[in-house]
Amino acid sequence: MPFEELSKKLAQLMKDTQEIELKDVDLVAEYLEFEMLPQMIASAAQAMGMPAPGVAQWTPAKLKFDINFPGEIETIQFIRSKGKTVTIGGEKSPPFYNFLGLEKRNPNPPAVTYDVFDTIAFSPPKPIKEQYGDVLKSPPEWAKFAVDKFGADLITFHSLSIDPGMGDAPVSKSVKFLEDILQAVNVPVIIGCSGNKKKDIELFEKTAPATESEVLMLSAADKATWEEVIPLAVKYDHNCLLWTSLDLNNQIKMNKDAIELGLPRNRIVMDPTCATLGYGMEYSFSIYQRMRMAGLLGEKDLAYPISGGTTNAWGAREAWMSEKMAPEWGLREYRGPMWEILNALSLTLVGLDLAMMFHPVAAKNVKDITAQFFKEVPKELNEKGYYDWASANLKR
Amino acid sequence: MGKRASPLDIYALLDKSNCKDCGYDTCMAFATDILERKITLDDCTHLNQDPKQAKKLAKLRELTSPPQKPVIIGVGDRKCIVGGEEVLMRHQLTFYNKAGIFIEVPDDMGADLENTIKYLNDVKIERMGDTLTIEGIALRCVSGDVETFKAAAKKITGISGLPIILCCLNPDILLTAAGEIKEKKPLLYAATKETWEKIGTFAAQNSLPVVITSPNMDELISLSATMQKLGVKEIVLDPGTFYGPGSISKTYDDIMRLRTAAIDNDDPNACWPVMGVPASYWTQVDTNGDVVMHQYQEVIMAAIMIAIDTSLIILHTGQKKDEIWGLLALMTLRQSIFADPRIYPTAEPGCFKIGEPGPDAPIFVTSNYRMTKIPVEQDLQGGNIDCWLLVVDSEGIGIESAVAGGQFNGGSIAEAVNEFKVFEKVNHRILIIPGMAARISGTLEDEANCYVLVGPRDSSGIPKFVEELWTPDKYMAEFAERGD
Ligand code: SF4
Repeated sequence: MPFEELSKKLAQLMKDTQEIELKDVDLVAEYLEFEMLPQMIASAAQAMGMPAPGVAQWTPAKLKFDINFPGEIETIQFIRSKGKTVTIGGEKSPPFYNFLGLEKRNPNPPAVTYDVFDTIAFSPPKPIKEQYGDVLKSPPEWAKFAVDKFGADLITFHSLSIDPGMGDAPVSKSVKFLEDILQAVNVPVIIGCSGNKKKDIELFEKTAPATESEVLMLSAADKATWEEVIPLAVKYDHNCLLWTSLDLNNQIKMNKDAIELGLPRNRIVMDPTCATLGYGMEYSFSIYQRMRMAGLLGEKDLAYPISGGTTNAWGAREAWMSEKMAPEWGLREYRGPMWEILNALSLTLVGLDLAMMFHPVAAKNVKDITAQFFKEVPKELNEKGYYDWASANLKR
Repeated sequence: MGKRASPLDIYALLDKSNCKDCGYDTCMAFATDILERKITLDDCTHLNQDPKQAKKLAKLRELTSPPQKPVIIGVGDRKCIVGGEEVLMRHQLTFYNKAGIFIEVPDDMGADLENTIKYLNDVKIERMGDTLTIEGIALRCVSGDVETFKAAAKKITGISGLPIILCCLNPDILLTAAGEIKEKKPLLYAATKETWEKIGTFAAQNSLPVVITSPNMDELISLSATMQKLGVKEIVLDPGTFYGPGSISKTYDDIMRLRTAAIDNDDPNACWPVMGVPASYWTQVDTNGDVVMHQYQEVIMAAIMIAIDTSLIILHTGQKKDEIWGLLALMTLRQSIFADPRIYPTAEPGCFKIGEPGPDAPIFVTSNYRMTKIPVEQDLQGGNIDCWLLVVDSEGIGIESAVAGGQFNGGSIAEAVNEFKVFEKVNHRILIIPGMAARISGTLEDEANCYVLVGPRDSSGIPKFVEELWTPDKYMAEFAERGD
C-alpha cells in the first residue's frame, strides 16, 4: 500500500478513534494530530512488515556514566634486605580500568611468582621439564635459573616432601634449601608448605626466624594452622597468605582473626582458592570479583590483595595430556602454556594480584600483557592498522 | 546497576487468574521465572490471546527487556544471539548470551573456500556434556572485487548454515553482497561516520543488523543515535581493537565503558552488543618470527574479551585444523564464564555400576563435583572397565581443592562407604582413591577399615592402572596381615 493511501486511511482511523489518544496523551488536540500521525504511520507500517521510514540526520551524543569507588586495596611489599622489592595492591579502581582519571589508576601490575619445588616426585608436565631440564633436581639452581634465564621477580619455594605421605623429609632440609635459594637469588621468596598440619607448623617455626631480616611471605595459614602460623608472621615480620576454600565469609573471618592476632593490614594477602580452567575456575573468578568489588566499595575486611596458585592449570588434562592421547586437541606444546595463561590472565581481570605460575612461557606472557595495561595510551592510535583487518591478506 | 523490575512489578501486570495454562500454579511463580529469564512472556496465554491485555503486554516487554539489547545474526538452527545482558558481572545474576566466536575467511581463497567452510561448519569439541562450536564466519573482502565478494558470500550460504558477517569498508561492495544474501540475515561490517547514511538506509529497509565503528567513543555513540533515528533496529558497537602498550588499555576501557553505560546507566545509545576483532593483530603488529607466539597474542586478546563479556569476537587463529588448541582454550574459558553461577554443578552421590562388575571388581572413589565425576565415568566406560564408582559428597568441590579444604577426607568417604553399603557389593575391602588424594590414605584406612590403593592422578590412567596393578588377592592378603 503506498504511503499516501496509508496515511489517508490512518487519518480516517484517527478520527474514529479519537478517544484513545486523548486518554493516553496529555496534549492539545492540534499538536497531537500533527505529531502523532507520522508515528502512527511508522508503527502501522511496521506491523505490516514494512521498514520504518527513518530520518537521515547526524545526531551528536556523548558517552556518559557515573561510577565511583571510594575504597582502596592495601599495598603489600615483599622485601629482600639487600636485593629486590616487589609491591602489589594499592588499587583504587577495578583491575585495568584507566578511564576513571589518572589519580584513580592502579599503581601496580599483577606480580608473577615462579614455582620451585623441593621434589619432582609428582612428575611435572613434560613442557615444563623441557624448559628447566636438569636444574629441576636442585631447588637453589632451579630458582637461580628462573631468575637469570626467565626474569623471575619472585620465587615460591614449596616444601612438599616434608608431608609424611610424600616422604616425610625433615624440616631442617627445607630450611637449608631456603637458605641456599636466598643465597642464589636476590628476589623475594615465598615459603610454601605441604598441606600436613604438624609439619607445616614446624616448617614455619623454623623458616620464619631464619629469614627474619627479609620480608617474605608464609604460604599459607589455613583453617587448621592459622592460630600457630599467623603469630609467626607477626613476630618475625613476614607477610602471611590467608588461605580459605572458595568461601567469601570464611575469608572475611580469617582476615579479621589475623588482625586480632596482631598481623598488620599491610602484611595480609588473601587466597580464596584458585580453581583450574575448565574445572571450576569460574568459582574463583566470581569470588575474586566479589571480593575486589567489595574492597573497592569500602569493605575494609576484603580490601587486601589476592594471590592464586594458577599452576593448578596443569591439573587439567587439556594442559598436560600428550597429543598421542588426545589428538583432537592439537599440540600440547601450545595448549599447555596457553591453559596456564588463560587461567592466570582471566583471574587478573577480576582482582588477582599475585599469580603463582609454573611454565616460564606462560609466566612471561602474563607479565608482558598485564604490563601493557600500565603504559600511557599513545597519542596517535594505529587506526589504519586496525581497519586494514577487513581487507588485508593475513599471515598464516 | 539500573533498577531491575521486581516479581511484584511483573505480577501487577499479569492476569492474576492463576489459570495454570503456562504450567505454573500461580501468576506469581510465573513472574519470578520471567525475571530469571527461564520463560518468556509468550508463555502466558492470557497476555497473548486477550486483546485487552495488549497494553499490559507491551509494558511487560519494556519492563523485562535487558538494558543491553540482543542482536540476532543469521537464520535457522544456528542463528546467533549476541548481547542482551542484564548485568556487568556474572555473579550479579548470570551472563546470558555467550560471546559469539566468528572466524574470518578471505573472499579470495578460490578452491580452498569450500573446505575451509566445511571445516568451520563442523568443528566442535565435546566437553562436560556441552558441545562447543564457533558461531559464524566473518567473510572479508580481500579481493576488492564486488563479484568475487558476492560469489563467496553466496557460496558460503550454500554450504553452511553458519551466520555470516560481511566485512568490507567500501559501502557499495558491502551492500551489493548484502543484497545477494539478505534473507540469511548477515551482520554488516561496518558503517562509519562517512558511510552511515547509505549503509543505515539499506539496513533499515532490509531489517539487517549493522556494525557501527569508531575509535572515538562520543562519535560512536553519535553514530548509534544517528542510526537509530534512521530506523536501524539492530546495532553492534565496534570501538576498535588496538594492540600494543597503552593501546590495549584503550581497547579494554572502551569495552568496559560501553558495557557500563548500557547496563548500569541505561544509556539509550550504548545499549547494544559490543564487539572486538582480535584478528586485527595481524595488520597492526610486525609478525616476523615464530608464528605461534603471534597466535598466542591474538588468543590472549580474545580471552580478555571473553572474560569481560564482549558480545562478539572475530578471530584469525582457529581457521585451520592445527590451530584447534586456540579454540579449545577459548571455548573452555567461555564455557566457564558463561556457566550459570546460580547452579552449582554437583553430581548425585552414590555407588554406581559401570559395566558388569563381578565380586572382585575394583571400586573407584571420586568427588561429587560434576566436572570431576563426568570425566572419570567416561574414562571407566571408555576403557571397558567393569567396576563400581563411589561418588562421595564433597560439597560439589573437585578432588584437589576438596582434599585441601577437608571436604574429601577419610571421614566423608567412610560415611559414603556405609551409606551405600559399598563392601556388600564385592568380596574385598579395597578402595582406589585418586592420586591427588594420596595423603588421605592413612585416615581413610582407619575410618573405613579397608585397604586403600592410590590410583593415578588423572582418571585417563585408570585402564593402564587396572591392567598392571589390580591384584585384589594380594592386597587383601596384606590387609589381613595388618589386622593380625
Ligand atoms: S498463563 Fe498467565 S494468567 Fe495463567 S497462570 Fe500463567 S501467568 Fe497466570
